[in-house]
Amino acid sequence: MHYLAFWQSALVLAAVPLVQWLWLRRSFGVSGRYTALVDELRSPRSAEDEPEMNEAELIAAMRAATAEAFGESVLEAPAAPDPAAPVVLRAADPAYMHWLFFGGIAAGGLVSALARGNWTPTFGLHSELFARMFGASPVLGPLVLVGGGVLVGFGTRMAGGCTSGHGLCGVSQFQRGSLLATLAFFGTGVVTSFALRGLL
Amino acid sequence: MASQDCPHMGTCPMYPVIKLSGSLKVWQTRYCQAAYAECARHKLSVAGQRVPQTLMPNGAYLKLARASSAE
Ligand code: SF4
Repeated sequence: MHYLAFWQSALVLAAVPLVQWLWLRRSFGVSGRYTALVDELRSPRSAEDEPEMNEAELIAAMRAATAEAFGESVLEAPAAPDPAAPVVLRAADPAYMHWLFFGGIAAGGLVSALARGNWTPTFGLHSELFARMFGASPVLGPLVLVGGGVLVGFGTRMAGGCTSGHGLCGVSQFQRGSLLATLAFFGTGVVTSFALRGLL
Repeated sequence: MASQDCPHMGTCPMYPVIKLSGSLKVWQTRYCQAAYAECARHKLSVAGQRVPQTLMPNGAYLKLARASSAE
């Protein structure tokens, strides 16, 4: 299999949180999007519930909430508000944006696989190890993948993010929790992979 | 490493806002870097529930005081 050179992947991966932050002022997270989609399907929210605020409005609202909770004495002098400041707290995206996001991921994966020229549909992963462990069964392979997905969902909910949220955005902000989460899931992946290769 | 850091710091949309302004640091020191298990956002998140964008760590909601643009 042909992979991109490490620096090519690194540039693309570094661009993802940067563009996301500069453009949308948000962290990028696949599991966060998924959670938001599920939330949106369970109970759609209205714009009144979660208004958009620009930076000045947001800081003013947060200062008021801070004074209410801890008293005026904890507040420093206010910074001069900038009326042209960008929106930093946005109303939640509508459900179609989440579908678009996941459609984009699926389409990107498909385009990449087709561009390689040797892609064929499968019930498992295009992996020798996976085939050796679970065969080419149209039942077992998908069941294992769905089971893995459920475990990933559980873990990302517990850790508050996944490889993209913690691994890309959190680590790029030097968040210790994200560093720890990334070490945990990549480390576990590496150890599991070596263990399986050793056993099989 | 401070063991009291909230594991959601890297992904919580409220955290960068709290960090943005010195006068809001009190939330960071009380919740994000200490009693994060008591944070209303953290509690909802680990319970698998929607976390409203305007929910503060103490359970209060932000109130938008917007001047009318017609004036
Ligand atoms: S303590 Fe609450 S506000 Fe702070 S990062 Fe964690 S979830 Fe967000």
